[in-house]
Amino acid sequence: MNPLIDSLPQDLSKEEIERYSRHLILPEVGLEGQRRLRNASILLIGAGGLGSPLAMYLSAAGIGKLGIVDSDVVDASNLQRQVIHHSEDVGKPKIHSARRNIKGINPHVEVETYDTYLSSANALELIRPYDLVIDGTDNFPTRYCVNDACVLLGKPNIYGSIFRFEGQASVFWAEHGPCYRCLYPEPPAPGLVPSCAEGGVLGILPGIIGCIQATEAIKLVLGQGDALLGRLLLFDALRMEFRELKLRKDPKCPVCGENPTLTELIDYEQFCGIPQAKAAEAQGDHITAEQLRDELAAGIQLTLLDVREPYEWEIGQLPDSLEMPLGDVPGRFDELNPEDAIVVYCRSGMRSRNAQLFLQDQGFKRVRNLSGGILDWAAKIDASIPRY
Amino acid sequence: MSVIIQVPAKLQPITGQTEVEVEGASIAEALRTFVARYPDLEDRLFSGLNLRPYVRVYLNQEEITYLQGESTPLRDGDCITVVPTVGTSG
Repeated sequence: MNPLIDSLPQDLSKEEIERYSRHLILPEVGLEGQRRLRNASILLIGAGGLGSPLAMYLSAAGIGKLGIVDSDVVDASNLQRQVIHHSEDVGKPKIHSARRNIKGINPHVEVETYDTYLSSANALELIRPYDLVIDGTDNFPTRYCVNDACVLLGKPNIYGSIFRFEGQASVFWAEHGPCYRCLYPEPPAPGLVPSCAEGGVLGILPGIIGCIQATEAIKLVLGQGDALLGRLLLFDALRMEFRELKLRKDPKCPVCGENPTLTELIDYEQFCGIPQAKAAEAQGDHITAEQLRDELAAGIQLTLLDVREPYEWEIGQLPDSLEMPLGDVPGRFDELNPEDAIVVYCRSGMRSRNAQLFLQDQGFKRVRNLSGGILDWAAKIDASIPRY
Repeated sequence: MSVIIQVPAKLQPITGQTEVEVEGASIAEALRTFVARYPDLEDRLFSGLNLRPYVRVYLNQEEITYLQGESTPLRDGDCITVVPTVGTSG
């Protein structure tokens, strides 16, 4: 593959030659390759688990310009894996700590930060000035938006995702291979696929997958090696095993296929069913943390049903609640009385909504879902319960 | 035919194992045996009789769409990988 980036004519400074000397003595990089890296611009979508090692290693490697899109603030629960943010950064915008640490690693890197949520309204404008995009997003609407924008603009999109002890990585580039939609034409229904916040993630895992993404970015810039195009790399930390699956370009792909039907960006929240899920949740019977506190204080008889996993239960739970992980509910719901008033809760309200729907299907008439889950309860009612 | 199904992290809470050995002459038979052993998988993998569109199934390194789909015959020792979509980045 040809290098993605031209080599700038001007020489490296003495300080740069010293800094990059271990690159310069690699025949695959050399002075010309290092100038290509300096002439490259890369947009990182997300400054979280994957974005942290990406930003740190790409800046150390001498990428000329890094853009970072993220509108989140640092949460204490991020620090276990999002290593670009430090303890003193909790509560502050992620782009601030990302910029500070990139500049600390390599002051030669130009850093552009975007305190925004990438959407169809701004994706083309944000991505267009950059040579390649690295996807470190944490939700499906943004993943599809990044993919489609990259296909429409002809940019390579380096993909990575992580969950528990497993990770995936690939290079999507419609001009040379498949795109994300060729692999996953449709998103899963909201709530059916747990997030890292619900399922957990080994803190080191984004370091491994992010470094694979960074490696692929540097290879594309240099035009060296075999890109991870048309291949899906699966990593399993428990087995300490890498596996590789073939990916093919789907001729019927709506965005990169032979007769594309998707020629401009769409409403990705709608595409992923988010508004429908929110409307369904709003329609269903729910109870706020404040209402639950008041009902318990008034002595109203309630069954509190906790559908989280046992290890979440150990972190903290509502008083006198019954532990029944969501997966056990279909086999254990006969432990509940269909006539009782039941309040179901989980971490944030998504799994408990599924449990509520299941119980209602079984004929339970008085099941309410705790809005915002135990997190909302911890934030508003009982600060002694840890947020996780 | 005795084949191995590699279980992704998202489904391991249901199976309790990272890989499961099943019998089956075709992908369809192996997956149905798999789901019969762990009924909670039914809704995660299938919508009615069809595999959900965001669940990809590979035989060894090749996606079954590019073989003979769920009719693809199996040989002893084959490895089936179920790859559900992962949207998270930590």
